[in-house]
Amino acid sequence: MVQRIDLHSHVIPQNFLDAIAAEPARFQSNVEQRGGRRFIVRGSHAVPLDPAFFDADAKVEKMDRLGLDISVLSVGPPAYCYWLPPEAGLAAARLVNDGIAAMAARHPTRLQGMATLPMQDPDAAIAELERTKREHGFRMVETGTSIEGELLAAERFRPVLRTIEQLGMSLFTHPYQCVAHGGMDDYYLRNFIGYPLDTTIMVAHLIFSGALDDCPGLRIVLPHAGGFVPYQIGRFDHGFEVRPEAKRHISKHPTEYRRRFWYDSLAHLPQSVRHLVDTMGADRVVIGTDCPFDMADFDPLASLEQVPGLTDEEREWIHGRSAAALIGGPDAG
Amino acid sequence: MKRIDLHNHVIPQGVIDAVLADQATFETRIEGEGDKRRVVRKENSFPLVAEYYDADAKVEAMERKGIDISMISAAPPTFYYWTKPEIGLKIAKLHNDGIAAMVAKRPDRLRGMASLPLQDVDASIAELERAVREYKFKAVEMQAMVNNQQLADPKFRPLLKTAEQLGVFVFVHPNWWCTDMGLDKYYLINMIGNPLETTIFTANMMFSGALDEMPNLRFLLAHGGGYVPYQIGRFRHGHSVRPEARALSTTSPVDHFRKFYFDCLTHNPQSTRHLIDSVGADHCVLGTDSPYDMGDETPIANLDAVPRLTPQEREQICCRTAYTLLGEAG
Repeated sequence: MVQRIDLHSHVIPQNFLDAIAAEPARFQSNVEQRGGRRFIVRGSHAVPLDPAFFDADAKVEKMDRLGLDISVLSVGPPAYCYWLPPEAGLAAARLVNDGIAAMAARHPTRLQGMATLPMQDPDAAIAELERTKREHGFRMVETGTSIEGELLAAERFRPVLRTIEQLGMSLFTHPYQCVAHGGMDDYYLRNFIGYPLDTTIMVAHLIFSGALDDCPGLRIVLPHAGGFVPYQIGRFDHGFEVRPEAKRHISKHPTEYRRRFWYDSLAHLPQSVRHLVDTMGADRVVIGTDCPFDMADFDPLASLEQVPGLTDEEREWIHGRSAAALIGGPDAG
Repeated sequence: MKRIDLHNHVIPQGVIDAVLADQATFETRIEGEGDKRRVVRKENSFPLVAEYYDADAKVEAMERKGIDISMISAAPPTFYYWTKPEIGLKIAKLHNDGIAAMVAKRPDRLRGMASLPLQDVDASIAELERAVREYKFKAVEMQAMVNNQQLADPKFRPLLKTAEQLGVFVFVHPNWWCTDMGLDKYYLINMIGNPLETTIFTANMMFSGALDEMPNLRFLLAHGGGYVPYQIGRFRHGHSVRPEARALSTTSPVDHFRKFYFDCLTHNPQSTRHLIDSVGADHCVLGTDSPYDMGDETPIANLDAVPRLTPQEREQICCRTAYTLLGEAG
């Protein structure tokens, strides 16, 4: 049976929590006790510290409960640190990467690491990326869908994308900002809508700017079922056909880029996952739990079983073969 | 079987004349001559083709697209919600009188939809009542977001309640509100901005509790419902885990879903398949967005390209759902 691989699983390693508790001003964050629970706090935003964020044993225990074999650990948005000055940003990224590597080393058959980069300084980001591959053997790297308001398609990030491509690593892009504004201030809509929106805007810019043509071998994993892209990609195609500003940098339909991306199955709706598979192919869909955030799928394998008409072959791709092609291992190919 | 388009725009002659007479107030220019005229406002411009204002030209365009009946609605660039209330009311009346005149010219092929001066809620209520009384309109068009305010804002509640009492459905249409970073290139202001505005509208209506107050009000969402039909699960999950999402409404977003109707304007047959599977063909209608370039020139062929479309679904989407919304026997 194929190993079940989760490509969307977050951590905030203990060594990083220790560092911000020791130097909260430098890292612009703190760890606080509130009502018997620990939180990581930045400004008005507080996230409860579930042990699965920092304790490898707790993470694996949760995976056992969910029926997952392998998780590729990425740092959670509260620890992206793109907002810090470059020196502190690099220090934070190194701490996080070493902390993730330590968690993976504790359960090497169950956990793999994903690098985080100090994207506020692209040169430092490239150096840190190369270090994580060399020292920790990471096969994936995570960045924001935008970096402090600047989209990933921006020219200054292109050398980072090219290095990821050259190193043969896969890029997991995760939203954290909600770059657009208006009407999303209430009800947590900056997450419900803002997160898939950031992913959608990033994808549109990567396609329409020609960035994907620039990096033909770059493989990108999108969380939250690809945001809004899988449902409204036809609007991109039609816009490409009728609007000159949409074909200034590209010469083929946006749909033709859709398989440059991998998509996690975190739609919270079986019918939407059906659409995702039908649109992108099961070999482009992976398990993504978003654990241990509250917006996670609390029973991802059961959710997958509710997908209408799911075939054995589709299940196998989504459970692990699609992800294995990205991270290597016995089921790759 | 008739084929009915519920998403089809006009700019009646009276509105064109008013804009021509006072281009400064409307910050709109009409450039060129004859059939080469263009409507220009800021960086946006589009050709002023005859089907905007000429009922016969509209029917001719419908013939080309295989449409039997169109419900015509004001074109978003001429909503003019940002003008002074008296200007807004004047434009809304010109829209409604002009739309009614176009319908009167081709009553076999056209139906009308009301337009309102949403910058003034009281005037909107009065004009909606007039349009329904005088012209028997069965629907009212509203922008998803009005001058940076959500339709879910309590100030619009009396208007929405009036629409509910009158039994008209609300056609919700987005219009360029978001010029934020990330959307200023590649025409993303439309390609992403429009479905986004519809999505934000829908979420605010659901989470604010507004829909709980108006259990019988029906909404038609443009452009395949924006992003809602694909990510409604995220709304449902969020509502179940986040206290701020539950504070004003205990109704799960999915339980509000049946109040919404959707046009099939996704520009992708597989996405339309998803829409039908998610909301049911009895909540889907044809929508061409004529005569805009982001519209659908071949709506019937695109519907027929939907995988596994059954004859029942086809008939439902071509006319049955629309007849229900229009209150016509068909």
